Amino acid sequence: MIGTPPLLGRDRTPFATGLAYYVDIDKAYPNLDARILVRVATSLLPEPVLVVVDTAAPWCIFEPELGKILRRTLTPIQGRVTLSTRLGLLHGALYRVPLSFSADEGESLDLEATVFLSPDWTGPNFIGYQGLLQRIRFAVDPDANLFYFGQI
Amino acid sequence: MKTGAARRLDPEPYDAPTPETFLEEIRRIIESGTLQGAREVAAQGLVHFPDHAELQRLHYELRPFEVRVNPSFKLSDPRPSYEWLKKNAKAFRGKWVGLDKGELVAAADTLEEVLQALQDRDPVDTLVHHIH
Repeated sequence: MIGTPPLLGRDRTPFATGLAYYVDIDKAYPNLDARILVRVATSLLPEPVLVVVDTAAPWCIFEPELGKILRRTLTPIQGRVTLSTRLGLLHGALYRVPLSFSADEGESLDLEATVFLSPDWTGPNFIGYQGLLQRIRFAVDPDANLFYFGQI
Repeated sequence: MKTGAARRLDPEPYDAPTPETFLEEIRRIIESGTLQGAREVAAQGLVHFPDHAELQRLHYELRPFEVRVNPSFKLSDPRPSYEWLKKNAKAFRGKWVGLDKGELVAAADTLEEVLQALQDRDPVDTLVHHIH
């Protein structure tokens, strides 16, 4: 590890090894409770994208237009998966997708997410708990719009 | 002994497991919103049916998920693009936008149009977002 970790745990060992600024666009998402949008990148997409951090969502979900690009190179873990969402029941497939959090301070993190792709999804991109968040340490500082992350 | 109690003590009829027994259990676990235990079921299935292609594939696909620190991966400071979004999101609702260090490069109805407009830009500096 280079330098001081951005956040220490209770036992003074590194809790988070990287932090990233996030954006909360309240006016753009009036119907959403979760408004923490962080930037993620994947080698499967040409540009970084924003995703909503949502601990209540089981899987990560990507918008259908992004899903079209991801599906070109991925095979599903499981086809025909049903997901219950605030927009109703959705049918899609689950994929294993490599993602990266870029650290604005500290060290970036590469990880694999479980992503649900459905042509019928009309909401934004999400990163969910079972699909990603439970595999890392994370913390949020709403005062400074900072998302802390680290390897477990 | 009452018949109800006798029925409870009767052993369950034994059905020999088939590959579909394990595949169905994996499907059930995934449908419940988790992957926990699904790989173990695939492993159990492979004990009985070591050559079953779908069980082999699922056992591989459900392997532990990797997380690792990557000190060499860095994108540029996102705050200029975040500021742009905060100021302008309302005016671009329903559009895909492509930003480069806080500068709007493209706004379009489709992702493809935005990606085309960004193709000569360094992805370290860019951000793509669909404003709902």
